[in-house]
Amino acid sequence: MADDGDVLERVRTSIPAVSFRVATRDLVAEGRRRRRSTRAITAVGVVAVTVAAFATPRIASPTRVAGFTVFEVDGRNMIGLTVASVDMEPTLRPGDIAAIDIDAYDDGRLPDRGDIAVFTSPVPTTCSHIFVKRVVGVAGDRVEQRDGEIVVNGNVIEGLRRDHHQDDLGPWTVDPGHVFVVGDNLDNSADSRRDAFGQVPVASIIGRVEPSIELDRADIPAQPACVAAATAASSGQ
Amino acid sequence: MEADGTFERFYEENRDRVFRAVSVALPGAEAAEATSEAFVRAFVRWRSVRRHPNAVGWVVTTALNYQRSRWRRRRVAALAAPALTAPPPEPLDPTLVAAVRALPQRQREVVVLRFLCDLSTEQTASLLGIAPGTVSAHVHRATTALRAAIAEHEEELQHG
Repeated sequence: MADDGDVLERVRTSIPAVSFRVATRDLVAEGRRRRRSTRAITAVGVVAVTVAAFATPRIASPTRVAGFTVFEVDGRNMIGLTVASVDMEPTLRPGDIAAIDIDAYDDGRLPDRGDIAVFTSPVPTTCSHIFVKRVVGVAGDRVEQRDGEIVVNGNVIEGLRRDHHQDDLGPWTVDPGHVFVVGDNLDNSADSRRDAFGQVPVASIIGRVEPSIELDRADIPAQPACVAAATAASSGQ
Repeated sequence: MEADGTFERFYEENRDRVFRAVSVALPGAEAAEATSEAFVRAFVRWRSVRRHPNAVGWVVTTALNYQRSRWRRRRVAALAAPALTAPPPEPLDPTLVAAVRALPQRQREVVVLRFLCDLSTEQTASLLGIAPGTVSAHVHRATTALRAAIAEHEEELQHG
């Protein structure tokens, strides 16, 4: 029986002898352009970011998240969020600063499968924690976990990190006005798979992470790690 | 930023090597876009990437995680176009390349980093943020799958 060395040698010899012809100058120019665009910061000022109140009678009042400085990148309104947890690794790591497009779901636009959504805690708390998770299911989808993979409408979702065997879970059907979210780091994420967390109401979504924008700490004003959410119900409880 | 000059040298010394490794794992145009995108990101973050213990591995890993449908930008496609002026060569070993591309993402990454980039188990583990034991497990699964794909192909050849 052939040992691993055979296969690996064959892998090595399969490398094509190609050259990569993208000019250094062009690549550097694109890099500089990106650096510039993330630094074209126009601080719009400290605002209360109002989560769009979708025109559904069920939504009583919008949740306001105060204290973020909104800046502009490529003409879009963004806020910066420092990632503090491992639940979205390897996509987002602790210390990364994620750029959140806060206009992404305005005007009745709904999250798409694959979006990285940013939302306020589904469970009311004094200090509203901001969650960042991947939308895998939208209203009407059937979601389940089989052999450690997330399966939506029969399709396995690629690209999520799974290192250990996990129990089969679900199936769930996503309710109207909600999304089903998971952290990319499936083994280390509390998300819609847990009853206490549940499906996320679209109305609590603040925006969408724009993964192609990279921010350095020096580029944006300091953002609060945890903000107080003002809702109709809470006041210091 | 004065350090950018070192990026240019880094890029020129490693562009082919990175592209070749990525070309095994990703098909044609995608490999070119992924390689371009990865080097652009390395440039944007050059201050930290240049101090990475394995900058080349970082670029390859970034390229292998390039998700065209989500992150593709017209600019990157345009940037990568010169890499495709020559028609992509016939893969030297189409069976094996197809088998590598059919591996799950994590196994594909490990195969490329360990055996096309010659990184150690520890270096691979560190780049991917997983334990060295997990790297070995992925290598084992990957070689099993590759061996099976090779054997199946050879059997098809023999029996028509």
